[in-house]
Amino acid sequence: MGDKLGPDVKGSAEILVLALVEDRARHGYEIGKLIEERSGGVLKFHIASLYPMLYRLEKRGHISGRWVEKAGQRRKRYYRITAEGRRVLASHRTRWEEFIHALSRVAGIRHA
Amino acid sequence: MPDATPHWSTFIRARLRGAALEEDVIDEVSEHVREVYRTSIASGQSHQEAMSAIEEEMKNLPALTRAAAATRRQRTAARLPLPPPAGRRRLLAAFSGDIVYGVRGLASRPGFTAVAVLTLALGIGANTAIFSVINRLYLQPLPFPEPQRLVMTWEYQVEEPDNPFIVSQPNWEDWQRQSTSFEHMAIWELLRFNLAGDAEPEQVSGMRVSHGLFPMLGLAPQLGRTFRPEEDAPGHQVVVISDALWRSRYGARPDIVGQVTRLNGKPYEIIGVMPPEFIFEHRRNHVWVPIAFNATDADRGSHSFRAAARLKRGVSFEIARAEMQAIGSRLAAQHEANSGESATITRMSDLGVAYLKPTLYALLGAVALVLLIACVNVANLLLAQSAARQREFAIRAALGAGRVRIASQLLAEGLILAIAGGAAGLALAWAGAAMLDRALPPSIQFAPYRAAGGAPLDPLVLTFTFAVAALTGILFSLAPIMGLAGSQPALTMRAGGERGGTARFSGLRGLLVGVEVALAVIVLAAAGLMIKSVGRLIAVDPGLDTRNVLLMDMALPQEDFYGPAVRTTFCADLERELSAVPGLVHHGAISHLPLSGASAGRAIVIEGRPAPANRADIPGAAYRVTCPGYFATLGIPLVRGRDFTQADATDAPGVIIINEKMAQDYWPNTDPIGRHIKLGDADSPNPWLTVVGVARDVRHFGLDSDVRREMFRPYPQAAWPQITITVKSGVDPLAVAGPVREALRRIDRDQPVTRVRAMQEVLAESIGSRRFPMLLLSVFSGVALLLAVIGVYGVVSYVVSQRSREIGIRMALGARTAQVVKMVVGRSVRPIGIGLVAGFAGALLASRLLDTLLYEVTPHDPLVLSTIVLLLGGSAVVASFVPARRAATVDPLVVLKEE
Repeated sequence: MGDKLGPDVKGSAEILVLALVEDRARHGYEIGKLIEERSGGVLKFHIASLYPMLYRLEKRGHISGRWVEKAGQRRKRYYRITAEGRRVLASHRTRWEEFIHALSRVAGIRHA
Repeated sequence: MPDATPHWSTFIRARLRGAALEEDVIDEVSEHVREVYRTSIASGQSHQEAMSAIEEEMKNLPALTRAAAATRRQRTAARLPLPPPAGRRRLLAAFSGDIVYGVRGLASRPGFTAVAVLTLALGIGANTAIFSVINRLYLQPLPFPEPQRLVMTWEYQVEEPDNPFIVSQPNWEDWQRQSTSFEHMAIWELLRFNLAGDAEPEQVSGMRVSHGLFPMLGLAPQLGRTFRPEEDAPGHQVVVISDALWRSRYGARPDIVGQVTRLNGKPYEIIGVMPPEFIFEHRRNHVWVPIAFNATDADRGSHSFRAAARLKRGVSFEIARAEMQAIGSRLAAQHEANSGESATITRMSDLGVAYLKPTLYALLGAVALVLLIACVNVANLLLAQSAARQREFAIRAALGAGRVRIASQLLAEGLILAIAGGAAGLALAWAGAAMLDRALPPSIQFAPYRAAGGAPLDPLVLTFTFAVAALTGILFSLAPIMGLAGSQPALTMRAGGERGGTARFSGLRGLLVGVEVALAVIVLAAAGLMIKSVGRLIAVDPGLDTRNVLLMDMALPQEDFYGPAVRTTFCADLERELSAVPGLVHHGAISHLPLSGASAGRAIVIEGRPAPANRADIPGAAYRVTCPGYFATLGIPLVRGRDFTQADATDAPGVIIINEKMAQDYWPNTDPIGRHIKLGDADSPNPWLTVVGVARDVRHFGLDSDVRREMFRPYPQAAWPQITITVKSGVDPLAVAGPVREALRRIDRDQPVTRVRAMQEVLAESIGSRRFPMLLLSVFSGVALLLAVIGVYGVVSYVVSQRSREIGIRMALGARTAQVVKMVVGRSVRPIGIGLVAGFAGALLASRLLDTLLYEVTPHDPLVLSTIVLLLGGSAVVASFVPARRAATVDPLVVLKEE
């Protein structure tokens, strides 16, 4: 990850993950795929970057993973946001909004 | 194309080049890679293109091992149990680890867990409910000190040793004088009393008792005293009351002892209040007065009393019985009235409940079968689960867990499910206890010496429930463990673990379907036989018309039951008041209502016939007392002669009406009208009575009983202390209850009317002891059928899902829908068929246990059994048809692409 953008964005990718699992539980492939799709291919994660990030978020208690298996199907690990994760996401959002607002005023960068 | 896909976890392990990575991470990444491949192919890419997409995804893969190790993420459900420590503690620790792991595993599969627990809760709850009734009636000791020493004492006909009857006062007094086995002996008669004077009049059940009753039972009053020996003689108007009456009628006032109340119009001093646990004979009895033997009691042939005794310490039941039989034989030799009779004892705990034992144990058997069916269903669920988890087991086996360890894991999960099911079942039984109690016949609800039912939580019931739950858990865990024994870890790993359907597995599934169907056949057959039996019983003509007949009980105080009527104008008063009530078609009154269980009997002398030499040949009939209009009210036609009229008054010539059976027995070829009979024996001073009518036979003792000889006397000439007012209305009988009650109050303000009910209810209650097992069996068989159908459906659905690829290929190769359905259904027909045959054989064996409960239905009734087999076979085939049809209608391309 971070291949196409500067390293300062790298840590912020975690916010994307939190936002994606905010409303429903998703498995790893789905998370990676959605980030890629919704960023129009700008953000792309490999296995070696996506999963360590998920595990890190989980270890911090921002998301929690759970094996789900249905009869006759393979088990998949689904991640959903925790209460702590929601709090972190909310504060990140505020900070980003302030930051983008500042950028737009200082450098004329428009909020997407 | 699927053949070209690598086994993803193997593929990933190869890429790690020996770097260590947790199995869970490998699993998760394999899933990811599988998805990449699947979506690439689905979007039209070739295998090569898909593989290069994967190569791209897997760039820098070894970095994952470092990151994963660094984060050492917390996993919950998937944590493997810790490696076991040494020795016996090792086993325990391993098993407790299994329990923790099992709880987590089940919590991660809430849908499966909920279905399994609910299924078990139904099965275990039904068992707990029936067991709690059995516990209350047969396993709990009676609420008296050392209850095993309490026995009932009876007379019996030597030819009929299994049918003992109540005793006469002179015989009982001889027993008391001659026996040495007993510490205490007591005698009593059940009566009803009008309680009035100190508050609203009410009718209460009670009894007159000899003073020895209380010391015999071993319970002291909570207030005051019980009877003194001298109070057995007439003239002592003292009464002991129940705790319930003391609370309800007297507000538990502490100064109750010494207060005077009126019983049947006479003043009685309240001398004692028994404690709440004193239930004698049953919990509706509230007053006890002294026995006060009268002149009628002194007749050795007048069997009126129940009697009981407490065995001396060290005297066995058998010795006491032998002594009583010896005394009984001696009395039979000494007294003409006792010829052919003897005396015996039974356990007090058996009174009124022993006859229900076969019914209740049959019900327990039925619920046990329902539980087995529930077990099979859960076993099926676990099998489907463990098939999906083959890979997990394979990995654990590869990591060094022996089969025993994995089996222990499965067993732990099974036990957790079972205990949860047991707890839920207990809650169900607890919640349904009051409902069950109401479904039971009064003979169980008001079983002698027992407190009210409806509270299943006692230690024995708890133990039973959890023993059943544990057994259940072990039983249904066997299925996946057996499935495990046939699996090969290495093969499973290689096969990706997703198609666990080895030959052994499907064989096990077939077996379970067969067992389930067989068990359901047995339960349904039992219910079917009971339903048919009760249907037969209801179809029996009782000989009377119960429609729109309303009944009210009333007491008419009468010291001497058979003596002259105290209230000579009662029938005329009734006629006057009830004629004024609008909406009544007929009215009358009867001392012993048909189908109510009440009866009395008298010996008779027929004019002009010599007294028979043999006592057994002395003529006699059941004895009833009526007011005019009774026969018309109950729709009983008089086939000869006339009904009583108000002219058959106290001072008019004595008259009597007999039934057809009595007419045939005593006047087989002649007209009985105008003949004379006398109650009692030849020397009796009783007046001669003229037969004025012959009433049609009524099945007085129950629809399943034979008609017996009956005779009816007009109340003004005969009297009886307890009478049931009968009215027939043109409309809903309960609608006239108010006006009728008002009318009766005008006859006598002090005589309360009790038990207002419809004759239909009496009829329904009379078949209660057959109807309640039928109702319960019907409910249980409904549950059994439902579980069996769900089970078959579940298994076939699962098998179909496992074979979806095969079915897809078949359809891609041109198989038609009908052929696929036929193939799938065809494979489930075999185990269903075997189950039906086995169930049929089982039903033939099991239904023999129902023999005593059935009425005019043989346990092997071919119609019932074949209907059940068809019903169950049909339902099972339909249950397997649904998933088969679904499998056959999917697009083969979709199925194949899922690979």
